[in-house]
Amino acid sequence: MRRCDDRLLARSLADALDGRAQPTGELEALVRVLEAAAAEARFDVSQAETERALATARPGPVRRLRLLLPVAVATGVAVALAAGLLLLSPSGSPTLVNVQARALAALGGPGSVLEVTERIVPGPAGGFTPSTRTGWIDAARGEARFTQRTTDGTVVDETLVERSRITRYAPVTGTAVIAGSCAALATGCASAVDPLTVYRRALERVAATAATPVTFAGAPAYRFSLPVQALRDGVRIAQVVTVDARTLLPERIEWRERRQGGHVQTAAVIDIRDAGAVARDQAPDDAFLLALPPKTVVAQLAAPGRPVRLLGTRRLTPSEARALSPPLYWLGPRAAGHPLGAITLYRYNAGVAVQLRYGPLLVWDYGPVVPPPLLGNRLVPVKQIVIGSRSVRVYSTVGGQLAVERDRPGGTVALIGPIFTKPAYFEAIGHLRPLPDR
Amino acid sequence: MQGEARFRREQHDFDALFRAHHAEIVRYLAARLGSREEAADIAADVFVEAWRRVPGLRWRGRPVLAWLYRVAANMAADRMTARRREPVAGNVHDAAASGDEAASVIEREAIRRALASLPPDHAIAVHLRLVEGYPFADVARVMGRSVGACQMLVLRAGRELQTALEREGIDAPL
Repeated sequence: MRRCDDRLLARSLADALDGRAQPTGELEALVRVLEAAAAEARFDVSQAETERALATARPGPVRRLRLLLPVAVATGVAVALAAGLLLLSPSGSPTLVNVQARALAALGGPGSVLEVTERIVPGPAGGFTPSTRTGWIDAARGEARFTQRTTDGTVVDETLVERSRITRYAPVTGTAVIAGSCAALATGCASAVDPLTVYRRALERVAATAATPVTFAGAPAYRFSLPVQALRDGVRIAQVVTVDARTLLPERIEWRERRQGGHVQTAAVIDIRDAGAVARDQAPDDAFLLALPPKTVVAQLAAPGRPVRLLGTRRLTPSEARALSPPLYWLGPRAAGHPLGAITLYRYNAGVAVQLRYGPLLVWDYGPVVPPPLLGNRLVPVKQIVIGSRSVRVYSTVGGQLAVERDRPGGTVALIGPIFTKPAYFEAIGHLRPLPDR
Repeated sequence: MQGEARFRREQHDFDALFRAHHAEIVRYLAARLGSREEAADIAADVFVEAWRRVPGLRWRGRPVLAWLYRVAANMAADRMTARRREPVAGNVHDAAASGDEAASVIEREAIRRALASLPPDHAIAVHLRLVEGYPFADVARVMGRSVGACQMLVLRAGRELQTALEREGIDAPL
C-alpha cells in the first residue's frame, strides 16, 4: 500500500517539478528542499573554461591518427556505397535515401558552421509583410545568431542562441529578453530554433516521405517532405523542402500543417537566399556574438526546470492598474466589440503578471515569469513576423489556443482568445498601448 | 533510431562530445565532491577515459552521456574513499560570517553535505532533472530506467535530503 502511495506521490512530485501542479503539504516541502539542493549545484561553466579544458584533454596526434584512420576508411566506404546507390538506381536518378544523405552532408560536418540568408513569406492566410533573416548556425555546438529585418532594412530583432542561454534583443524598443533555455520563453523553442536547424534535425532523424525531381527557379531540383511534429490534437506539421539538384542545398522550406480530416495549410514559406557551410575558424569573430547596447532594458526569464507556481490572484481597481510600473499595456476601453472587464493581478513564485479581459479576448502583460496558460507547444515557425516596425510572434499554446505576443519595455504583452483568427490578432495587437496614468 | 544516430556521432567526434557534456559533468562532480576545482580535475580524467573507451562502446539503447555519468560517479566514489584515508584538514571559510549571513552559510554547507551524501543513482536523478533541467523522459533514457522509477528516485532523494537537514537541526529551506 505504502509502495503504491509512494508511486502516486512520486508522480505528483514530478508534476509539481514540471510546473503542472501546485504542490501543498509534504510535496511543497519536498519541492523546496530539492530546489534548494539544486540551486547549490547550479553554476555556470563558461565556454572559455570548457575550451581550455578541451585543449588540455585532447590527446596527442598519435592517438588521433588511430581514431581517424578507421573513420577515414569508414568514410571512404560510405562514399563508395553512396556512389553505388546512385549507379544502381533503376531509374538512373539518385534514390531518396541518397538525396536525403547528400542533403544532410551539404549542410556541413561538425567542424563547420552555416551562414544563411532567408526570406520569410507568410502563408496565404497571413496578413503581414515578408522579412529577411540573416545569420549563422553552428549545429554541433547548438549555437545560432540571427538578425531579422523588414523589407526596408530596419532591424527588428536580434537573437543569439547559446547552449545555456538565449538572448533576444529588440532595437526598436531597446529591450532584451534573456532566458536560460528556449523552454523559458513563452513561445517555447519555436522562437529560438531556425527552420534550417529543424530541417537538419529532421534529415538526421527521420526518413523523408517522398522525393520528386522538379524544376525550381529554372534549375533542376528535388522536393521531399519531412515530418517534423505530431500534436495531440491530430495536427501534423511537416517541412516540404526543395533542394538544388546539384548542390543539394535547400532553396525553399514550406511549413505545412495537416489537420484531422486532411485539410492542409501552408503556415509559412522560407526562401533560402544563401546557405553556405564554412569552417568554424573561418567565420567572422563576431558571428556568434550579440553585444547589447548600453541602457538596454533586460528582462531575465525564470530558469528552466523551475516550476512556476501560482501563489494567488487579486482584482485590481482601475486606479491601482494605472499606478503600476512599468505601465500596463491595454487595447483601450473597448476591444473586439467588448468593454474592458476585470483586471486581475496573478502572483507567481517567480514574479507577477496582469490579465485584462475583453470578453473572450485576454491581454496578458508580464515580465520575468511567463504565465503558464501562455506557454507554447509546437515548432510552427509562424513566429517572428514583422507588423509595422515591430516583431510579433505567433504560436499555439499548450491549451491549443492561438496566441500573439510582442515585447514591451521591460517585458512582454500577449493576446489570447479562442475565437480569434490571425488577421484579427494582428489588427488588435496594433492597438496595444500603455495605460495612461491619470 | 535517432538515439543511435547521436550515439554514433558522439562516438566519433570527441570534441563535440566534450563541448556538449563537459559543463554538466563538472557540475555533477562538484555536487558530489563539494569542490569545483577537484570536479574540474576529475572531469578531465573522465574525458581522457572517454577518449580511450567511447569509440569502442556498443549501442545498448543508452546515450554516451549515460556512460560519462557512470564513469564520473565511479571516479567521484573513488575520490571520496581516498579522502577518508587522508589526514583531516579543518574546514576553512573565505571570511568570518556573523548573524544571518552565518546562518545562511551553515545552511548552504548543510545542503551541500546532504547532496553529497545521496546514493549515486539518487544524486544523478536529482542532478539531471533539477540541475540540468532534463525532462523525466530524458532522465530515464540516461539512467536506463523507466520514467516512474526515476520519479521515485527523486522522491526518495527529497526525503533523504529532508532527513539529513533535520539531523543537522535545519528546517526545510524557504
